[in-house]
Formats: sequence, C-alpha cells, structure tokens
Amino acid sequence: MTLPHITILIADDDEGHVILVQDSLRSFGLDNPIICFGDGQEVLDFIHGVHPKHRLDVNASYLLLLDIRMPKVDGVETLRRIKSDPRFRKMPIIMLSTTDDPMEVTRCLELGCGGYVTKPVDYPKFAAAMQDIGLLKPE
Amino acid sequence: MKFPPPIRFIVPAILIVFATVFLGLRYQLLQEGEAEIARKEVTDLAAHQAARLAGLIKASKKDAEMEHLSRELSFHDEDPELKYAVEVDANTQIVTASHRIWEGRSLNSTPAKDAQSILDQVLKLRTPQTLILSDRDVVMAAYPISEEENGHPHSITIVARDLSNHLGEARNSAYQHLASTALVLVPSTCLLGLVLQSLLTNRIQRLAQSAASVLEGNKPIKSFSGNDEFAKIDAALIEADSRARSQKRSYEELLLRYNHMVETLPAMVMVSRNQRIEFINQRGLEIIGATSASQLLNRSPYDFLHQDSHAKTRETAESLRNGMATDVPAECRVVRMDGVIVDLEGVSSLYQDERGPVIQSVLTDVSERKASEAKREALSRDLQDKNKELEAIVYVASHDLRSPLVNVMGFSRQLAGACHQLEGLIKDAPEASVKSTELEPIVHTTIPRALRFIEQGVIKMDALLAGFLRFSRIGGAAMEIQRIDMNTLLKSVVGSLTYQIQQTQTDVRIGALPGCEADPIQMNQVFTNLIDNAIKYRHPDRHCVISVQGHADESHLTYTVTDNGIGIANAHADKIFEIFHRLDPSASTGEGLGLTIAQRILKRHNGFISVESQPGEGSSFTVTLPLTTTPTRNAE
Repeated sequence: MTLPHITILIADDDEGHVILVQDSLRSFGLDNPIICFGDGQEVLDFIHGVHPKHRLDVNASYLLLLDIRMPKVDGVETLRRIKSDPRFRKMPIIMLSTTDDPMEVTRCLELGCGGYVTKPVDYPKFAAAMQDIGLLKPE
Repeated sequence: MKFPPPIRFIVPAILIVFATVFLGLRYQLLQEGEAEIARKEVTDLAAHQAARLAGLIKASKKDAEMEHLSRELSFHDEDPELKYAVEVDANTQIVTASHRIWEGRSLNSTPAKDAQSILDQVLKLRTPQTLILSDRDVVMAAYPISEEENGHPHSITIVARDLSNHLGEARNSAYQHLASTALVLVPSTCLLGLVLQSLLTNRIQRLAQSAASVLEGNKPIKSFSGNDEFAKIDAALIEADSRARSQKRSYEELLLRYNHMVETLPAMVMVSRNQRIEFINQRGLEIIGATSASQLLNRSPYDFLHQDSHAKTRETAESLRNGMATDVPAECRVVRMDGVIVDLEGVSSLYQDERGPVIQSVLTDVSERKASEAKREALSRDLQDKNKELEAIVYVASHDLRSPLVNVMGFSRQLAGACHQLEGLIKDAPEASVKSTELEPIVHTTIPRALRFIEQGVIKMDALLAGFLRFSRIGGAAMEIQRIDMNTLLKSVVGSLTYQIQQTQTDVRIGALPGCEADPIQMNQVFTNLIDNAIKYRHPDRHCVISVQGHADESHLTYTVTDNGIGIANAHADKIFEIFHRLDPSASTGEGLGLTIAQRILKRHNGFISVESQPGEGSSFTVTLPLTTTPTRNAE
C-alpha cells in the first residue's frame, strides 16, 4: 500500500496505541511522514498553525487518524470542528476507536468522517477505510 | 257578609224570594180577574143606561115629553155610582144633564175631560151603537142619537159610572183568594226547604268539611256511599288524597335517598348559581375546611379557588353556559380555610331550573394521588438519571476497558513476532556465542505458551466485553413496532444461517406462522439466536431437525422452536437465561448471551420466553407475544 505525498496525522492519548498504529502502518508498507498528537486540542492547534512543535504546511496533503476518547477535546468534537471549518472540510479523517457502538459510528459518519476503524487496526479494515475515502483503489 | 254567602243561607233565601214572587204574581192575577168582571158589569149597565137615555131623548123630542125625561134623569140622583148622564151635541155642548148645573156648559168642563175625543169617535158612527170607554175607576158609555137624514148623529148620550166600589170589592176578593193560596204555599215551601237542606245543603257542607280536613293535612271524612254525584266527589276526594299521600311518601323517600347519597358521597357536591354557592354537601365542607354550610352559602366559589385555577374555571363555566357542552371534566386547586392547598378533580355540569342556569360540580380530593404522581415522576426521573449513568458507564467501559486490551493484544502480538525473530536468530547463531540449549526451551516453549494464554485471555475478555455492551445496548435502542409477516422473517433468519445449516446438514421445518406486531430487527435476533442455539446444541448421534410452529389465540401469539438436540437438564432450565451462562463452554463457541438477549427483547415487547426440555431428547422454546404491542419504556 502506498499513499504518496500524504502526511499522516495520528491523534491518540494512549502511547501504546500510537506505537501499535504506527507499527501497523509501517507493516502495511506505508512510509509516509507521521506526526503524532496526544489529544484533539493539539490537532486543532496544529491546523490553526499555533502548535509549538509542528508547523502546518499549507501545500501538503494530510490524512488524520483520530481516536475518539481523548482528554481536553475528544475525537468527535475535533471531527465536528474540523468539518465545520471550510478550509479543512476536505481533509480525510478516519476514526480509530476501541468500540463498534453503532450509535457512535452513525454519529461520526453523520459528522463527515471518511471511515471508522476499530482497534486493533489490521490490514483489511484499514484498507477498506482507505478505499472508502478514495485514497486506495479497490484491488 | 261575604258574597256569595254560604249555601245554608242561599237555599232559604231562594225559597223566600220564590214564594214572595209567586204570591205577588198570584195576587196580581186574581185582582185583575175580579176587576175585569166588575168592569164588565158596570160597563154593561152604563151602556144600557146610555141607550135607554138616547131613546128617551129621541122620544121626548118628538113628543116634547120632557117630564119623562126629567123623571128618568132624576132617578140618577138616587144612583150613587152614577157619576153623570148627559146629552152632548156636536159642539160638545151639554144639552141635557142628570145634574142641572152642567146644562149649557161645554163637555170639556165636565169630569169627562176627554169628552171631545169620545164625541169625535161617536159622531163618525152612522148607526146608533154603544161605545164603552173606561178610564181608571170610571166607566163611560156613549150612545148616538141619530136624527138627520144623512145618518150623522145630531147628539150623543154619555153615561159615566163610578167603578171604585167594585174595584175595592175585587181587591178584597183577591186578598181572600191569596190568603187561601198562602195557606198552602208557606208550609209546602218550608217542607221544600227542609228537603233541600237535607238533600243538598247538609251534603255539600259535609263535602266542604271533608275538603277542609284534607287542607289541614288530615284524612278526608268518608260520608257518602252509593253512586250519586256526591258519592263520586267524595270518592274522588279520598282517591286524590290517597294519591297525594303516596306521592308525598315517594317524594320524601326519594328526597331521603338522594340526600343520603349526596351527603355520604366521598366527593364534594357543590351547586352554584350566578357564582353564588347554593348548596354544598358534608364532604365539600370537609374539603374546604368549613364547619357549617352557612360559612359558604351565598359566597362565590372563587373565594376558595386558588389563583392558578381562576382562569381555567371561568373558561369551563363559560363553555357550559354557552351550551358548548353539558358536562366537562373539571380540575382545580382549592385553598382550604386553614390555608392548605387541595387538588380537586371531577366533572362540572349545567342544568336549568325555573330560576335559570345552575352549575353543579362533583369533585374529589386528588391531592394524595397528585403527590404520589409527583413522587412517581421524581422516581422515574431518578431512574432515567440512573439509566443515563449506566449508559455512561457502558460508554466508558466500551472505550476505556477495551483500550488497555488493545495494547495487551497488540503488544503480545509484537512480542510473538519478536520471539519468532529471536528463534530464527538462535537457530542461525554460532553454537558458541549463545547458550542455545538454555535459550531454546524459553523461546520455543515458555514464552509462546505465555503469549498464547495472554491472547486467549484477551480474546475471551474482549468477547465478554463486546457481549456485555451488545446486551446493554438493547435497552437503549429505539423500538420500531410494525406489523411483521413472521414467515418472511423466519425465511430471512434461515437465509442468514445458511452456512451453519449446510455444514451441519440441519433440517429446518417452518409451519404457517401468524403475523405479529414487533420490532423486526429484534425479532430477527430472537429467532436467529434460537435457531443458532438449536444447531449449536444438536445431538452428536443424530440428524439435527428444527421445527418452528406458530399459533394465535384471542389474547396471545405463540411461536415454538423445537429441536431434537441434547436437551437441558431441569436443574439448568432457569439458568440458561442468565447473562454469560453457558451450558458447556468447551463444546461450542459464543459468549452465552443469546437467550439472555432474547429474553430481554421479549420483555420489552411485553412478551416472554419459556423452555421445556427432555435431556437427551430435545428442547422446545416458546416465544409468547401479545396480539398488539406497545413498547415499554427504556427505563426498565
């Protein structure tokens, strides 16, 4: 699997989950640059250009992998804010969650997320989500 | 004396008047009759004398025998009843007279004042005849003395006689006759009076007494028998009195009954007119906290109504008065005299009596019910809060409990991978550099076994957690009750289980099933679980056969899923519905939730599930649903 010219953003407060997701992505063959954030607020700071460590490149493309349950601003709220901002509405977002609660899945899809993947992330689930948002052509 | 006077005076009065009038008329008739006879006699005498005098005059004129005439006339002096006898000429001059003083004088100066008219009539007569003229108590007769050739009388004779003596005699005779009549009349009138008194007056008086007795509230006096009018009136009086008494009795009974009803009713009954209380029962007094009706009568009901209820009550009264409704549900708050607020509920209605519209309200004290309703509402709110709390816990559990599991799962896999790599490295490594004999069992056996148990534990825990969440979500999911064709639904269930059915060569037989009202997704889950269980717990020694039958009676629908599987021991029959209970965890997969979920779904549909089983023979699960389903509240 290759996703050229895309920077992958991972937002998850659990360090272990971040490592596992990163490892999974690497194992899928992705060598894209990855930026990790500890909560929704950091993501919002990043896209608004006020993150202390990471700079937003307006010309770059991003894919956001968003955990739902996070401190400060949770995943659903982060999704809602990004999708209500015209500048970032088109940014592809995939929700990463520990639960497959249908109500939550529906809520996120209604807010405009591109896909919904339950942890642990495995290749078939991730590939299906990539296909859903059009970053990966169906085989 | 008042008019008309009592009957005991009327009858004698009528009799007296009758007798008097009769006697008066009788006297008149008698007297006139006698007078007529007398008048006739006197008239005849006068006529005779007038004719005789005329003859004498005529003869004397021929013979000039005045002596006869004068003698003839002189006899008149001895006749006391002779007023006069005269000869009158055509000029009404008296030619000859019985009394000399009148001779040569005009007739007009005589007592016979109407002599001229007499003369006129007599002079018109051509032949001699008697003309009789009567004037009160004087009778006159005229006779013409015909002399001339043309027949016109030359003069006439007039004889006037006094009647008064005769009339007096006639009166006396009449009095005598009258006396004899009265002799008969008076006793017979008295007798008639007595008869009338006994036949009419006394009886009417008795009726009047009877009527007076009724008026005084006593019984009528029965005094007549027979079939005459008095007896009929008497009977009517007695009958009317007895009817009135019976009506009064039933009226009093009715009054007592309704009074008792109204006074013992456990509700306030209040009647008001023009916003003034006209009646209120004992319970009403208690509700308002008054000790006597006088505290409330003639006051406005609004004096006791809570401010909040004024507008609504006015609206109710208005709609009643406008005839929009004859009775309307009423709900109001009343401030008792001691200040306590009481909630009342009931019905207000309007009726019309002779003085106009009246509003009647029948209201019961629902304060306790309102209070318990409020308490129940608070409990329900509390329960909802608890439910939300529980949902929050479920939400947290679903994320936070699975979160570490994901790490354990992910990193144990990494560890397994690392172990695998290590195994390869050991295999390739030079014998001398590593103590492969010591490492080999650790890397080959100990670590992989530990990882296997870790993974199994994690998978098991994950499954339990997922099942727990699935179960808890049923309570929160909205129910969409709709008409379901159960034949179609079962076909779809069997379709989704095709793989298992084919693998196990199961025979599923579905009979004709009645439709039901339920949530189709949840019903699908129930029957999927039941058929899936029947396949899972099939008997190893025989072909699995599952039969689904349905039946509808007047109140319920039943669906039975029967299998020929291993069956359930009686000791376990109740436990199989418990959460996470599994009969034989090693023999089959699943987390032991199927029946628990089925039971929960049916409970939400006001139905239930039951099992009958014979160990070794098979089981029969019966799903019972009401004919129509109203979803129960989420708060269970």
